[in-house]
Amino acid sequence: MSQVVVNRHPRGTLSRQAELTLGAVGLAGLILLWQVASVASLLSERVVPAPTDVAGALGRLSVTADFWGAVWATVSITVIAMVVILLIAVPTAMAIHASRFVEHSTWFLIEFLKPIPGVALIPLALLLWGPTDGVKLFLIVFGSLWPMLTQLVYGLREIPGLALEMARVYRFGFWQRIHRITIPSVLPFTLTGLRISVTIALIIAIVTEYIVGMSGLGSLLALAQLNGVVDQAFALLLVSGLLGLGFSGSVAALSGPLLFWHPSQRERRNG
Amino acid sequence: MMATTTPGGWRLLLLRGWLPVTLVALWWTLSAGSEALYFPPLQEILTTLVDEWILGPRWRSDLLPSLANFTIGFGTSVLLGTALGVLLGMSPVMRALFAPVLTFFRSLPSPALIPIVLGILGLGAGMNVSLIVLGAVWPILLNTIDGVRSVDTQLREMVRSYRLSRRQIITHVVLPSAGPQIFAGYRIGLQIAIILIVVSEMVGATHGLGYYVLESQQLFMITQTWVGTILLGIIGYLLTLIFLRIERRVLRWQIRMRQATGAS
Amino acid sequence: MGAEHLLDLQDLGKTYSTGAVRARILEGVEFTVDRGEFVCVVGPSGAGKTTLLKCIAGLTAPTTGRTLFEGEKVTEPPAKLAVIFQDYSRSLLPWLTVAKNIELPLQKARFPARERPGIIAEALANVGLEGKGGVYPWEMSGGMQQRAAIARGLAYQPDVLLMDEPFAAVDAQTRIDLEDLVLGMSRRLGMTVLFVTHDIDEAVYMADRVVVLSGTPAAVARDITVDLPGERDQVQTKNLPRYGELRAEVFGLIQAAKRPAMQRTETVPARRMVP
Ligand SMILES: Nc1ncnc2c1ncn2[C@@H]1O[C@H](COP(=O)(O)OP(=O)(O)O)[C@@H](O)[C@H]1O
Ligand SMILES: [Mg+2]
Repeated sequence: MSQVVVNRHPRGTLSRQAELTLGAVGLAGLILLWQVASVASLLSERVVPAPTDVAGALGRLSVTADFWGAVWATVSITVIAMVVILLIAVPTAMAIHASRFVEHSTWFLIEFLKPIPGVALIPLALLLWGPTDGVKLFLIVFGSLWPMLTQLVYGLREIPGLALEMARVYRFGFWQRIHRITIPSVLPFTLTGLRISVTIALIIAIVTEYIVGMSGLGSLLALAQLNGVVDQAFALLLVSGLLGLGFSGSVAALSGPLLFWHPSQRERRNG
Repeated sequence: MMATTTPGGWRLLLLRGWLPVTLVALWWTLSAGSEALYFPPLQEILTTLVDEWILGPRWRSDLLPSLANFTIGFGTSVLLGTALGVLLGMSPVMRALFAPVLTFFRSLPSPALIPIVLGILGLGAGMNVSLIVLGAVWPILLNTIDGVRSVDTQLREMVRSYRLSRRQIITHVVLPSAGPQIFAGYRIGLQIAIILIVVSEMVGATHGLGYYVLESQQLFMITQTWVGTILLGIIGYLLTLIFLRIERRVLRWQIRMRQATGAS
Repeated sequence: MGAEHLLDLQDLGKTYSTGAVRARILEGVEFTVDRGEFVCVVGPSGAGKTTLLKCIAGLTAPTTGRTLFEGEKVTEPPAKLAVIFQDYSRSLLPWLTVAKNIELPLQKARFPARERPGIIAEALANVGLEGKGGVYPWEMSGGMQQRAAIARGLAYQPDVLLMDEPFAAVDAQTRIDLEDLVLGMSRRLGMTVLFVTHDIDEAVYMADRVVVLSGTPAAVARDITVDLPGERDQVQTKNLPRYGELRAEVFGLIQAAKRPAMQRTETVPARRMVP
């Protein structure tokens, strides 16, 4: 076997410093451009407010209890959904991995349910059970379970055969095998699943809130739209984005310490 | 690698088929003659589906426009995301310049854009397509950038030493090498696009499948709500199936390589 | 024209700086390669051989000095120069067949479309891969892949072929076959080859001249003309007493550079006595 050193992109890389500076310049430039366009009335105020107006609206929002209540509602349900998803996906993936019979029997069901957009179930779920937090949780879990499940099944399948043979040669016990081989090799896949699942969960949470009018960022958005307060809609857009950043940032922050041995992380440290 | 023995032909069909068939059969028999308001008989649901959507006019008035909007929206996301991704992937300065904005939009739950897009474009196809593009383009763009960036160093040197033209580099080296990762981006983009066509029709259209299913619920037309939901499921499934077919065809060199070498 | 060397390295130096760290890899490297010569550059792993080769090929800019190729300063990879990389699996494109891999760098201006099939077939024949054009690289063994990479270099019809430890990743038997293949090929086609390796035997066996690279930063320790019979043979050549002497000479130079402290104590022992 030839040793393949995956030596990624040393050419065409900037120093961290330069990257951050350029990023700040890009962001500042964009906001400045937007502000200038607004002031020069190139953008209709009723459609796209100036950045300063958006900042003002954000300031006004941030002192209301409603706003923080909505943020909490969206964040908490998303976090709970992630926990539920893990509780469902881990045993399911293990069952699928352990038994060919389970794998084949559930194959079509999973392949069929996977691509069904979670939001499509909103009307039916509302009809059957009404607008409760339980329904919201069900919708989020149903819609964003699949990436996690797929990644877990995939991860279990990809456990290096060599490592398993090593475990047999050295007579690893059950827990030792789980702890030293299974969990470390499945972890990267779990985090990938988590990253995709949380993105979709947040989308479904906001859509459900928006359509049903349940407490959360989605209903605030609907309200802003109804009242025609554009600057507020933009402020909420900003908040939603930051929330998304917070979630993906959290997954990334988990990856650092959990995957310190993984090439992607080593590269990050060195690069 | 572990030896995986997959049974062939009718045995596999039986193994995979028994559970879904049993479930549908159960549903059919248990719901037959059902008086429960919210659980109409499956037979009634299917008859309505066929009557309204296949024999009736809805496939033209609601289904085709939905599919057209979806195709335009997802297609635009693919073209735009790939082209910009290659551009940004090959230029570190541009990439750094736009990094914060891209990171923001990638993490943004796209339905948060609904009030603004509705405000600018109003109800209709334009709004639906725009929302899809604004949601689906980011994972495609960012995956393409990553794929282009991780083109192997030695490959880059080979390309330079043989003085390949820019066009040759993009079509023969960068795109194929980043292909698997680009398609991973398409897959996430597709998932988001399917969600968004439904959402955008629920909130920003006066026809289409999404509109139909939400409208049925609000009018308390229970059978129709079931029909719409099932139809959305089938369509989501079929779109994904078509996509995976295309992916397998485009990336077949990689699949064959994996089979030949056993490498990942 | 006459006195001009094909390759002329003048005071070549390279320093990598990553952040605050500066690593001086090469300093004052000077040697020349003439048309038709087979020159081996030998040095221990990490000496800076790949760096040197990249500077010559125009893939990296040297920090000091310059390389002249056919009398012109190299800034970008010249059109009449080809590089064979160490890791064939990363330089052949797995999504193209061998023939397409070879065809890719053949530009319209120099290689009209109708001449290409002939050129490709000839290159494949030269490396003993007749009829393998339709195969994908990953369907072949490591040695065959490296031969395909060499065929691509040949089809490109360069004036000089730079090779960076091309046989480091293949098994010993394949390596011997490939050495003889490249040697025979370069003799037959009158090619100029600059061959980089860490393997002393390989260098002495193949070269007309061996350039020994040693020290940190690396410089040319010695430029040795290999006065062995032109026809090389894995058994006979390696049994010649002269082969052993040359081998020992190169080995000594590299060992000396590896342990500069020891060498100092050997050559000037008195210094240590009187602190
Ligand atoms: N792009 C680079 N940046 C910093 N250091 C490098 C780079 N490339 C090589 N080096 C360093 O230069 C030294 C010589 O490397 P190289 O030329 O690859 O040696 P060789 O080919 O003789 O084994 C090594 O210590 C290596 O770590
Ligand atoms: Mg090297």
